[in-house]
Amino acid sequence: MINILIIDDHPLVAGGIEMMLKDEEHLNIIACAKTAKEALDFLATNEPEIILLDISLPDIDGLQLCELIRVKNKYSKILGLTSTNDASIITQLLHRGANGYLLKNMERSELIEAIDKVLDNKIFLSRAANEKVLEQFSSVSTALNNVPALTRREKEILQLLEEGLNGPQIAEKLFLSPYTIETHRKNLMQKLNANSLVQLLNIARNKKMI
Amino acid sequence: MIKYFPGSVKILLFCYALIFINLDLYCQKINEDSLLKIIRATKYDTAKVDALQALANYQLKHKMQDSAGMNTLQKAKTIAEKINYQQGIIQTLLTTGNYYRSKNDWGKSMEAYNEIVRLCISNGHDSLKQKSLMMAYNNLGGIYNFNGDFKNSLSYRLKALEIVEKLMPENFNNRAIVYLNIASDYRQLKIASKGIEYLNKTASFFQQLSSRLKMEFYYEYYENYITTDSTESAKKILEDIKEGLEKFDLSKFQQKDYSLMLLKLSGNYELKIQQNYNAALQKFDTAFAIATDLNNRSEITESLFNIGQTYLKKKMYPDAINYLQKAYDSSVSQALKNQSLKIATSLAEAFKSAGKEDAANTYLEKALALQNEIYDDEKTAELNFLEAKYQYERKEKEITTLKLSNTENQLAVLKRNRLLLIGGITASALLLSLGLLYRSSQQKRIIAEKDKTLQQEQIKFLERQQQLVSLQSMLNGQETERTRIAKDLHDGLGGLFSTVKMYFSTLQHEQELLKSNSLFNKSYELIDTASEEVRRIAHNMMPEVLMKLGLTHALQDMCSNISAGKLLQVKLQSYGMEQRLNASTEIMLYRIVQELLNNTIKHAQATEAIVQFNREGQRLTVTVEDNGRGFNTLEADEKKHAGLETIKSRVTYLNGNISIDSQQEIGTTVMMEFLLNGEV
Repeated sequence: MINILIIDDHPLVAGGIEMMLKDEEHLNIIACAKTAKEALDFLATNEPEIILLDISLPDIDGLQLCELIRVKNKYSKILGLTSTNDASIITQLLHRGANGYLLKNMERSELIEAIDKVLDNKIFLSRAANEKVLEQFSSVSTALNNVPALTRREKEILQLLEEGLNGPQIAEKLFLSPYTIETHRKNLMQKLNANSLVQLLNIARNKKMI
Repeated sequence: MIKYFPGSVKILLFCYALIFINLDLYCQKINEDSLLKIIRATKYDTAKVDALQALANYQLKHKMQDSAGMNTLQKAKTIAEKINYQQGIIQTLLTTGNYYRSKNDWGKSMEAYNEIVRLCISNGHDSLKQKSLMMAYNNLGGIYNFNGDFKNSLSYRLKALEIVEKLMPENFNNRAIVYLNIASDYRQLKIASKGIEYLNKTASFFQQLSSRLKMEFYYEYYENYITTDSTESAKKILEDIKEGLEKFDLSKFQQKDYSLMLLKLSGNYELKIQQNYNAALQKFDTAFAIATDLNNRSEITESLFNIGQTYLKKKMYPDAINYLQKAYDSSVSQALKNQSLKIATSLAEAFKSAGKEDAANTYLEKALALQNEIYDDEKTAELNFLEAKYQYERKEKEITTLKLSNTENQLAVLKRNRLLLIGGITASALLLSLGLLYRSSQQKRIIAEKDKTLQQEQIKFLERQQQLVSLQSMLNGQETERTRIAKDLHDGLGGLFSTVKMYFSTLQHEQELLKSNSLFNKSYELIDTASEEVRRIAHNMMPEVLMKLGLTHALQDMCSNISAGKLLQVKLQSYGMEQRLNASTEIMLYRIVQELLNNTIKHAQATEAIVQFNREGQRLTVTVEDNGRGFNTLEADEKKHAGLETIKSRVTYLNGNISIDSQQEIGTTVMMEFLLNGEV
């Protein structure tokens, strides 16, 4: 018998899930918690196989709750449950120890599939969520592979710094205020992780920016 | 800065127009021993903090033990901080601010008030914090007012006003104090009509105010009416004061003090408006008697001067000289330079009229010397204040200067010109009185014109400031509303649709036949679409990721969502953004970037864009750049760039600067700079 804890402050939603699962005889809803506190109290003495966790709760944020549960409980499989499919929330949820993620407007078959999958020690992402996460990973990986992209101004200023001009001279040349140039210079140093002008120019040369 | 009050009635007992608000949580009649007992008996808890705080108050206010008091206060603060007792921390800060204010140590005073502002803005909105915040703003305004910076004073008082009107409309006395202070600022900014407008706001509850406040209101009304030449209304106020003296519940000291005020005001009214010199003399004589009774030397001097002035008007020169000389000696012995200057000038005039040129010259020379001294003193004081202000602003990053630097610069230039002019004219008037003429009408015309321009500038400045205040509350209100609706959609409607779908899904599972029923399938599909739609709308209103995970994650999602469309690749680069900003700043920045990227998508036909955040300490720069076709910033089509205006107002809301650099066929770069407030 697989015991399931539902954590959701919305009684209708909890009721809906309960109804979807009523025909699956191996699945047993052991409790419904409306708040993070109720959930933690219950989990202090119980170890359900599955936890369905809504990420919007009235007391503690669902993401934090996921982390709190994981500190003590490595056994239960946690499936995040939410109405949004923001990629960052999905990845954060997985980071914090969830085994999968379902959108609330899931179909019955998807819910059952998700439960089977995580019980089988696999990660389950709802189909809509899947695409989102992949999108983000692709953009994150491009960002990681590349050196920081410079804005047009930054390129210009870097070039002029390389030519040996100082702030006020560059300001005059580009019709900008020296203060603005200083801002760009500071931003460049921060982007390229440099502590001095010499270092900045060295790094820029190494990365073939100038 | 030269403070020049021609013929102003200034009473020195109470500092009218400068009312500070104190939080009286503790009974004043406190037994020191019982306090010490509490302090010794308790460990680190709130009661100990309260007791220490009360003891400090007692030491500072009643026993004049400054260092012991400050020491006790420090102890209270340390413990309050250790046990995170917010109310205690705020209370000690308020006492600290008030103490330094009473010592004219503006820097430290502003620092303490500023700390209150920081604490109160960042955590929570309970009523005590709001009240403390209101008081801090009001008292900060008072410091600026005292130092002659009425604009900044007004800007703080308007902030106090927002809180007091919104959150404690039933606290009539506090509301009235803020109105009174604002009226005083407006009057001193030479916009007395506005001042009266604010005074009138108390009309519906004026009767319920404390007696002292009513009197202060009368004073402010009188001054405002005199400034606007509404002499009839001013006269009525004098009657109100008289009635108040009879009816109000005032302490003996207050009785005498306000009688003195009334006598001075009505004496001057008789002297200057009615030109009924005998009536004026009578008032001033009585004022002299009361001042003597109160043993208030500066008021004694003032009364002697007023009497002398009246004799001068009556052309009774020996009497005038007699009184003025007494007044002069008295003011010199008290080192009251402003008074001495006024009296010496008057004396010179009296001697001159009596035909004693030599004596007249002697007093003119004295007056000139005094004027130089006062100028030097005031310069020093002003520098001290500027120094204090500078120190404070470095911490505070004072908003108004940033926001309104342009207007302010213009204003400052005008103000400086006017001061030079006033200085010049005062000096030349003195010299001229030696010779033949009094004043040239030419110069009068110039001052009048300058004053008029100055006034217009000030009005513009104030209008902008008010716009800003309303803009801020509007933007803030908008976002709060959006957050609320988005939450309702997510949790309410969204949950409902999801549940309906769950039922349909179960129904389909139970009734196999339904799978071939097209009506059922269509309904099922529509429910799905509807729930998707709710999610989309809620997301646009307020992305959950922004609330839960913060700006960087939300922007990352935004950028990858746009990039997924394949038309525009947006890259997010953020540096130094590990720490979250406060929620409303994050929302504002998110909206700004969203709006800018929307413009890029709609108009720029760009293929690549960069969104860049650089934060170092409190400095934040945000750059949004695309490689689109650009536009001409100068002749920006109004319709197309209505969006830009919204962006600009949001940037203004965050006290930032924005620069837009667009080159045709190369692209557009928008760079914004913000100085994040202490509370971020």
